[in-house]
Amino acid sequence: MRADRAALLPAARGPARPSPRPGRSAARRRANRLGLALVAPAFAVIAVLVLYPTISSVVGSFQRYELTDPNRAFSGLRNYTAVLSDDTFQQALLNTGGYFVVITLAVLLMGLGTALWLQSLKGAWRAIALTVIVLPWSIPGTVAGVLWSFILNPTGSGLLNSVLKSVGLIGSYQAWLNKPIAGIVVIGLTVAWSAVPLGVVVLLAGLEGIPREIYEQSLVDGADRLRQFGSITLPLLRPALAIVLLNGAVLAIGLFDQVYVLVGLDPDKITIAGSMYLYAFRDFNFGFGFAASVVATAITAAISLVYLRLVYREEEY
Amino acid sequence: MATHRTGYGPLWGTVRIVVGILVVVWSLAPIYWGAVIAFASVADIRRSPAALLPQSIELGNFGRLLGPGSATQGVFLSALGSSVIQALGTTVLTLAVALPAAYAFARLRFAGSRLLLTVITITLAVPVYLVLIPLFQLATATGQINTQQGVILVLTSAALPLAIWILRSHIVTLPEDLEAAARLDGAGTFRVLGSIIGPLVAPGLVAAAVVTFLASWGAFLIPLVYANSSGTEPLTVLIPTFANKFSSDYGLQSAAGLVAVLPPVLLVVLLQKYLLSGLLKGATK
Amino acid sequence: MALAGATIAALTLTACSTGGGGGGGSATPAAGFKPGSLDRKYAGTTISVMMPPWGSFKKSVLQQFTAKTGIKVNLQTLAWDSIHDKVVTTEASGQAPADVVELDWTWVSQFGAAGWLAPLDQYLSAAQLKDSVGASTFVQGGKQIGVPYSLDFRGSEYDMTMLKKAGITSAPTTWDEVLIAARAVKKAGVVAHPIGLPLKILEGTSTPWYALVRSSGGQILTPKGKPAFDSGGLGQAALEFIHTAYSEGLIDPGAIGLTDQQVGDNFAAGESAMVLATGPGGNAQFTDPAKSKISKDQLQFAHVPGQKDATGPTVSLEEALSIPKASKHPEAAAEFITWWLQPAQLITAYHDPDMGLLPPSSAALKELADSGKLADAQTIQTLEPTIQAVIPGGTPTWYSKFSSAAAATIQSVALGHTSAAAGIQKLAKQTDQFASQG
Repeated sequence: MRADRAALLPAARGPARPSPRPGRSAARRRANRLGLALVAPAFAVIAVLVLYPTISSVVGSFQRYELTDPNRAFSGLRNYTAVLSDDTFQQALLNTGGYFVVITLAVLLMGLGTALWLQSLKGAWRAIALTVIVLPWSIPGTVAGVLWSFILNPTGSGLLNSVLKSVGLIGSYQAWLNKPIAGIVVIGLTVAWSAVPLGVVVLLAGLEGIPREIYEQSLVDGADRLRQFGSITLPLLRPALAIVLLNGAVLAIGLFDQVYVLVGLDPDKITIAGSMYLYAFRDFNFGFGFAASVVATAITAAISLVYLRLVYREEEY
Repeated sequence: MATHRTGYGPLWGTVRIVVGILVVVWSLAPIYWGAVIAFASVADIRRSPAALLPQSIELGNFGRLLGPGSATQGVFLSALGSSVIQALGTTVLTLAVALPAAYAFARLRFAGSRLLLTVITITLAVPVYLVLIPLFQLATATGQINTQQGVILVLTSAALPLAIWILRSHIVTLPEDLEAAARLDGAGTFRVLGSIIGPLVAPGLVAAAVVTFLASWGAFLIPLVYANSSGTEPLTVLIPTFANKFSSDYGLQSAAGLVAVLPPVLLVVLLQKYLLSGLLKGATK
Repeated sequence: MALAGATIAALTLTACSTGGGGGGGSATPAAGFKPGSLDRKYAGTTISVMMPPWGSFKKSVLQQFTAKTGIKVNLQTLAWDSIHDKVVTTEASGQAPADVVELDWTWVSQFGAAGWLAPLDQYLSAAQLKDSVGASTFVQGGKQIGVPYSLDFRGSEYDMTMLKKAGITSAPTTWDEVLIAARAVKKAGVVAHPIGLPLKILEGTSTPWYALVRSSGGQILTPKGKPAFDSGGLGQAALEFIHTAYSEGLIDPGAIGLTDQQVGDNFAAGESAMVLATGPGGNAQFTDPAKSKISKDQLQFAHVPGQKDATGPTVSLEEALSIPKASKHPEAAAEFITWWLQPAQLITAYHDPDMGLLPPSSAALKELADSGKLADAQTIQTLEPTIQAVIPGGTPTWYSKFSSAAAATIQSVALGHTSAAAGIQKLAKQTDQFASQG
């Protein structure tokens, strides 16, 4: 027990405070042992259920391998060339780009608008408004998809069709989800419905984190509200905006639930995750599924790195 | 009015109200419309053009879903049970594994701590579909497919990194003096964790629990692959399968959907404070 | 944590072996089981049945089965797509998704090659299989792995009211006649886009093209899975026909976003004068005045038009009942199938508006026709002998890829992005590629 304490205290305070010389290495060993013991269960779960499968996916992407045939054989880059030249996968990449643009734009604009609006509310009003705004985030993706499918119903019993036609914006009922490009936009917006809340929370925190004095000083300097927004709010909000962007990218690249519920594995709308599911569990081709998932993850990683660099470069203000 | 708002024009009041209405309508319209359909009669669900206000309020859909003798009663109750087991099981297991790790990462400096934390953080960005097939193989090879514990393990591995981050971020902000005092009194690490850190980190625990619960309650792809048999499928997998001859069965889907959103919505309403702090810690750290 | 640790250990140990392949159940019935029997030997057993909505009997009907055999039925009705998902993930781990499971004709080779389904030859009598129309579609590797419960063949539906307004008095039998009739209807201003044909990149777009080619005497794939649509120029001619119809506006330009179901809806709503490949006859969607604007006596169901005449094979997109090898109650499941295949139940399934299944049985069809209750009886009885599988010899395992590639080709040619010749060439190349990838 006492040894624990001796080991813990210096460590907790960080390296700045040197630990007493006598017994230092023994104490360090004990700290190591304790730390590793505490982390071990978590790391074991991650190692077996995340790291091992990740490596297995990468290895499998170079193998010919099917769900119904347990014999795997090295096949070089064949899975990659086949997947990259496959119409469905190309369309999935294109669609995912489309979803990404729609989702991030929607989350940025709506999130920022809503966050600014929230900032103007006080006390109980703000708490109530926040609860309402966060609700969509809590709703399971498939249920959200189902709820939106009621609204987007291609007949007149769909809420959107009925409302738009009654105000004269459309002449006949539209099958929104069947349209190639409009369908992507509409589905992207339904995903944004679930994603905007997180954007609002992050952006609101970013807004609140901007010191009041900066605004006051600029008022003294004669800046108006609009100029303040451009010259103070936006630049200082940059880390929060980058997080929202990063989140949008991760969301778009992992998108599956809502699209699957709204349009199934329709090749016009399919996402990368959907194409992977299609290869593995509809076509039984695990090799293709591996290659598709590795390509998609590589793209995610590249985008994440770019964003992270942007965030960290601009972090201090 | 705070000082920095003096720059607003006279239009601001109107804009504020309009934005408020838009925000509320956008956030609640799908939920409202789902509720209207859930309580509507079959004829009103099909009514064209649709009426904005409920034309009928009846329990027919709920009767068809879970009334005595209904065709879906068995599968629905079983899916509800699976959802509860999987979400609660994942939450408990995740917290039990995450708390000691988070404490170690926050307070101890040990060999490899930085590396391990980095690795765990990076897994936050590993998309589910990258591990989907190998885990499917593991699960089938070990007989864990279509079992509650199998899907709980996979859900835990997905939820763990974020839970560790949230808890670590809370523990880092706690004053160390209390721990030091307890240690001087002779308390061991686990007692420190249980009696000092535990209560202090309670808001963080609640935040991590809520975030984990919501994520596993709403999970779809994972149970679609690992828990897709009639005894283990959760609500998220069951609800989209309700169909009639030509299309989805809106009545059943909406009624079951309302039941499925009740727990998460209640959590958000009751524990909003913790949820927001959890979200922020998860998103910004 | 202990749970995690134990499982992790187990996972690591067995990680090298994989699942997949057939399950643990027996492929042959228990001794003493008589194929095609319906008795009370298995009373007290509960079997699970997994079907799409149109394959789901009402509870009261299922209770008749229980009354007769003492076998309880636990029916799970779910969306068709979800059935495939469920079968795959449970079968791959050696479990049975249910005791009786839906089997679509497009799944035959996948599930058959995987060895998931029990051969029904020993569970059903030879007489039952002989009476079954289209049973050959469900033969995989020489084994009968499913037996049809629905005769879903393709024919064309014409709204003769519209055709007559344009001076056309009989249903077209060739592609040229279709174009002539459609041009006349369009010119007479009856409807803007007379031909209903889905062009969205989905299975529902590929099947009309198969029907057009097969109806002209052509083939889609050889029994060995080689392209056959390119021989004799029929595949190309059918694409050219679709392109002509689309480019002249005879097909709704929005059809590239329409599913076969929506094309049917539009026809029922009076927005088109014909649907080229729909089916089967007696479609309640078109004859029910509550759902359809078409006057019942002016609705004509006919053989899908061919290039030169309408005498070629009629394709059938059938759905079957199957028993997973891993089922624990295959004998009781077989009794359920036997019960279903009796004319009484097949006729119930025909009359139930939520099912509306044409009986895949010559006996039941005759009984229906004789009682005067079979809509389009004459056409159906004429077409029945011409019914063939879309791909004789069985659908290849890579069928779903072929189907999407075909649909993409059809859409691209219709839009004029590709010429019919180039489209066929590319599709043939893709087909060989799918076949070589397995």
